[in-house]
Amino acid sequence: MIPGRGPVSGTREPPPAAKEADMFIVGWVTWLAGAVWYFFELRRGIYRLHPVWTYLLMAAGLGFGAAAVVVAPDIQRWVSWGAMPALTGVFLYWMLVYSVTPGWLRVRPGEPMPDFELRDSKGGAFRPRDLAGRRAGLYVFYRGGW
Amino acid sequence: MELAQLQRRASDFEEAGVEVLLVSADRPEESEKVRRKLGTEFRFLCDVEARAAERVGLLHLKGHPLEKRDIATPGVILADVDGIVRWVFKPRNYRMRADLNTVIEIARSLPESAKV
Repeated sequence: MIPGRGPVSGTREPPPAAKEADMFIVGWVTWLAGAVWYFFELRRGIYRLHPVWTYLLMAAGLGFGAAAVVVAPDIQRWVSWGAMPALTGVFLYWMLVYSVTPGWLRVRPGEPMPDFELRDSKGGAFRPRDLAGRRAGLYVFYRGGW
Repeated sequence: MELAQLQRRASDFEEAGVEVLLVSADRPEESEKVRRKLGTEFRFLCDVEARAAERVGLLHLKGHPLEKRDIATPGVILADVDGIVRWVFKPRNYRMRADLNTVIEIARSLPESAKV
């Protein structure tokens, strides 16, 4: 070593906070796995009012991410992690508030089907009584194709 | 149930003697577009002013997210050949769907007089 100049060879920069970075990535991957799992179940026709596995995975992801930014605070990481609770909030708002449907079904089993007149997509007229004596009717009301 | 899933079980409803009627506040051209996309022969009823939805209690006031007009909220009603309601499904959250196997099972269990 040259006096006053420090080491000249055989030295390395201190390693980056690899473990914290790994934990941060694990957080995001876990969170995303929760979101993907929810939509995967939807595709399979499984509908849950409260998708518990999705909630748990998202919570775990938030935890891993939070731990990573607390252990090794970094403004870039804080901003990136902040997106996770924000997205969780949007997801929960949609799940628990926005998708709640109004309406109070007025028909009950044993009562006659209310009569109304509608046009079908080909322009033909339809009334529930048109089916009388011919076929049963399954009326599927849906929100629309938009 | 999703419309595509309904379509996949069309033959089950045919065998049960049940006509599937899909009701929404879409305009005829919009419904026809959906029908063609699905490749189905189900009948799409256009409740543009949501009057039928109101009659049965499935009205969602200003529920259209883009046009802010009245639409139907999801629900399923099974009426037999005499026009008597036999089964209803009204989820408290539109993410929920009626179980298709249950619907078909109930349709099959309708009295013989309710079948073609």
